[in-house]
Amino acid sequence: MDSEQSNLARDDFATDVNLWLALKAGQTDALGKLYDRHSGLVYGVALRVLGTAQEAEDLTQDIFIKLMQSSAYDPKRGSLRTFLAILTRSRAIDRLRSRQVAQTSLQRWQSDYAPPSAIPPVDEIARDERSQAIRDALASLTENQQEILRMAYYDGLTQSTIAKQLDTPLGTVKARARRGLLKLRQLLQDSLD
Amino acid sequence: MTGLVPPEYQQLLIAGYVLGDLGPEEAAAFEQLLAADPSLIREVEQMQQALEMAYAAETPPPAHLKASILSAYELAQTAVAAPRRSTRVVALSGWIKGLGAIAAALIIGLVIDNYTLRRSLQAVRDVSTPATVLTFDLEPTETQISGSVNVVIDPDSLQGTLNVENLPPLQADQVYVLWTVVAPDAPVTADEKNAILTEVFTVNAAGEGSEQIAVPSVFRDRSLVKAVAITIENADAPQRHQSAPILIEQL
Repeated sequence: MDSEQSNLARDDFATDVNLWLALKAGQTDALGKLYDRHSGLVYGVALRVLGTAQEAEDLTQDIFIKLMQSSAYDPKRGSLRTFLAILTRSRAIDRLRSRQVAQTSLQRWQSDYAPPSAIPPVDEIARDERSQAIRDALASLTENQQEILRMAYYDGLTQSTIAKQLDTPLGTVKARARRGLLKLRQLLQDSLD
Repeated sequence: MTGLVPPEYQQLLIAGYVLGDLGPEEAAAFEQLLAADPSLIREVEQMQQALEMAYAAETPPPAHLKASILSAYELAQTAVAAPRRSTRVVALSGWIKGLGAIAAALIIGLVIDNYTLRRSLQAVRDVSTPATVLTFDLEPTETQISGSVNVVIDPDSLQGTLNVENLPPLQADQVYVLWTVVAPDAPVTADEKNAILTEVFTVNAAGEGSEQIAVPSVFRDRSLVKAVAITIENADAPQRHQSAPILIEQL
């Protein structure tokens, strides 16, 4: 059983890497497979940030269409899913900001130079969407670990940027993020496939 | 090999890979670890799953979206044309090539899936209307201006391609800007010249350029678009729209 699971995992992993490389080599059909594997993640992130199905569809399309052109992803340094999740969240937040600027501009044209409204908080999955086990696991992380994981995964900030913002050495930031994730995996072990 | 690496370091490398932050040396170490013990990939998967359980949630997209994306992608690929496709070679290290061998069977599966994909694409072609693709051939506004710009837009996907030939390369502090000029009463946000900044671009030394672009939703109602134009703007603030068009297609 373990062997079978290992084989499946290896195949999944290899498939992501190969599909990415096939896409970069111009093999259009690789896009459909990548879409099948990751569209739920991309669409889910987009929907939670943008709040409407239409905008989430537009962004999902944008992410996949431009994937081939992207040179930002290096399969040796990180997983494709994390890259896609961070990219999608970042683009979604950009769109929220553009929407805010457009609304502000319109307000200025129309009347009263109203001050801009704040971008609605969209960072996290609603608490009630998480199971108790996940909430407990997150609560078990140190505040530093939670903060750095949020900044890295939600805000898409590089470790260097996080280090500057928190005035913390880069090595410490990396270590906290990784140890936080290790702890999460250990605490959630029973829930993992 | 893995026996020489402390288990905790292995785990930290896996976490770093899942977080996407491995440095070059760490990436090399991770590569060696995987080559020596492919079963570690299972741990990568589990680490990924733990991260997403805590911080992400999948939502199935609507069924029609895949066909829409594949159709738009194919359109974009066609417009961008063959040269880009033929020359892409990605440098691969051994372990990635190895993984390629591991996944050979799945690649074969991909080939089989091509049939389904082709059928899907054919179905998309049957129901979509290629004639709705908008093509703009911008012409110089003055005789002494050289160059040509072609813009192909799919109003459904709001994606397009911008192809430029023979435009003079600019100084470092200048950029070309593609504008979508809308009707004065169009229900969109435009600048004082009724224009929407659509793309900022430069050209290579030969005066050529080609890129995929996203276009404003106003293209879904062509009656609202009055012109597509190119200006030369200050690179620091192209949105100020201070210059007159050098190429334009009036509608």
